[in-house]
Amino acid sequence: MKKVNIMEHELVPEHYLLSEEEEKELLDKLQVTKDSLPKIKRSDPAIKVLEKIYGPIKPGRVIKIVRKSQTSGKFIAYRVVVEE
Amino acid sequence: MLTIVWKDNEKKWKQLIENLPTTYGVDFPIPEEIKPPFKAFVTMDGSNIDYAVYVKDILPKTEKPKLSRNTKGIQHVLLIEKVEEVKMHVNEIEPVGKKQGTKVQKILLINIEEEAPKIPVKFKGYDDFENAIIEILKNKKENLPESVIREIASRSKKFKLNKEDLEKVVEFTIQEYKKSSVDPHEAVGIVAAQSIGEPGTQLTLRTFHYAGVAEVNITKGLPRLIEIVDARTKPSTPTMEIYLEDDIKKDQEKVEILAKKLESTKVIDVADVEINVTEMTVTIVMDKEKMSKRRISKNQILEAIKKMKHQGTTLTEEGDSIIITLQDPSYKKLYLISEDIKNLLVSGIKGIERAIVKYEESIGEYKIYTQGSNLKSVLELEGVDHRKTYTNDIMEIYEVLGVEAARNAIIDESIKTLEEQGLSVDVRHLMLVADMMTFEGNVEAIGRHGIAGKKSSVLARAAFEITSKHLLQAGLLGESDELRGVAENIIVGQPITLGTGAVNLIYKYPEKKR
Repeated sequence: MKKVNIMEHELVPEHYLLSEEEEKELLDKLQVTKDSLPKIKRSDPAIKVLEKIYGPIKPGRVIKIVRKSQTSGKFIAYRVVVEE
Repeated sequence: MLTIVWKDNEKKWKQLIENLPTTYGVDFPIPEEIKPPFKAFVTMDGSNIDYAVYVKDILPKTEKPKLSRNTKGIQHVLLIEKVEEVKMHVNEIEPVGKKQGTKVQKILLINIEEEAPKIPVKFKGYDDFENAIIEILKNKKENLPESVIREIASRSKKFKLNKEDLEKVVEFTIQEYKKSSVDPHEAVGIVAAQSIGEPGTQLTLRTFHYAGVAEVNITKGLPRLIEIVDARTKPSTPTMEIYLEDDIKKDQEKVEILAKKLESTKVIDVADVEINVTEMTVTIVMDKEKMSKRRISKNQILEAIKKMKHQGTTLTEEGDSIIITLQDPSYKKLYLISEDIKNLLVSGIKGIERAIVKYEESIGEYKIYTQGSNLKSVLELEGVDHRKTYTNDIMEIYEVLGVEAARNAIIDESIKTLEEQGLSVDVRHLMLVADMMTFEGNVEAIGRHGIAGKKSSVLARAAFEITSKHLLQAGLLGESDELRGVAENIIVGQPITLGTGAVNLIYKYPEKKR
């Protein structure tokens, strides 16, 4: 049995936790509220990995996802952490 | 990172877990270097670490804790937010700091290098030329996708463009890019539905059962597409594509051994399980031939049966058979035990029925294809490349790798299914489908059980499927309809909220000059 960091898997894009200032900046830029962003569950395996880096992540925080896109090369998406 | 480990008893800890988040008093000093929030560890027996504790804050000791390690001599009160089960030995967390030792008596101050996992960077950086384009874009306050920037760079490199010309190229690109982007309020969903639907009529309706990849059956065509879009918990033909680590991927023998290890063997595959009604026993008659074929020894079967959690059973060996006797037998018990034994896993990984080794000429290495899938267990196996190994079970990917991976899997699987049949659908449509399916953080079906059933408008839901049920329900609950969507506006005969119909125009009447 080895320990697997799922972030290394090809299917999993890069996930980063946004700081609160960055969150504000983003919401200002996109002109949206947090509830209209796509969601990610707190129990998501990717969030579990982030929690090991940043400590517990509360619902309401925004995760920045850097996807590998077939059409635009690199695409930045955001998801807001939600409770189950 | 400096952290602490302390000893506690099971009973108290269970109580604490039930009451999370809670306050907890500790009778030892917490060094100043440790600042909340921090992660600490708790051991029950002194040598195995059982729980990780997320401490949110350290409260003054005047605060009365709900629970405490020791009622006397409380030095700090911790606000515990979360407790997680972990399995580690104290020796594993090295290097040990101030109080060295392998057993924790009271508390242990340790210095752990938490294997803080890294987020691997999956993109290559830009070169000078690409950076120059980005600089131009920055000055113009415009933005282009990465792939476009790379394309301009690779093409204009050939012509050795100077800065002025490059600027012109970028200018034109921005114009063309804006022209080809989707207009606001365009009905992208309808376009996607039509773009998948039209070529979808040409997909094979029949579930093929032909040897796709070396004797492994894979559902193809329309049935597979429906499976993806319906977000089924298990695909009808789950398969895995296992990539291997560098050290074994070129060695056929080692790969074969690994493949054999994967295949799951149940007791029923190598033995007959019989209920002896007169003696009230369960008899397991081993089949030597089948056993040698699957390389299973008698001991393995015995071990597996011993591990079962049935109380009051005794095992006796008699030549090629094992007899299980019960302390107080009943027909029901006998039946239950025999059923459990039949499905008992002797070796291999649960869920994987067959594993086939195949040499991939294009990449020059061996790969294992399986029938049946169990991503989590396979990824943790030694020798398996956990970066590439793939399964076609999207729900399993969601559980093991998360929503974002599931989104990618939906796109990959659906485009693969369509391309196999010689159909080319633009990925953007499938991306939209995948985005919708994973919007809520889990994988939802497209149909009435998923997205379409969750529309906020009653009329839109009623227009889709099972009209009467939705109308009745809405009437009972007194739902109201905002008339924001397309379907409901068509029903009531208003202009739909799409394209130009989606914008409200306000005319500011010029004030009369007096």
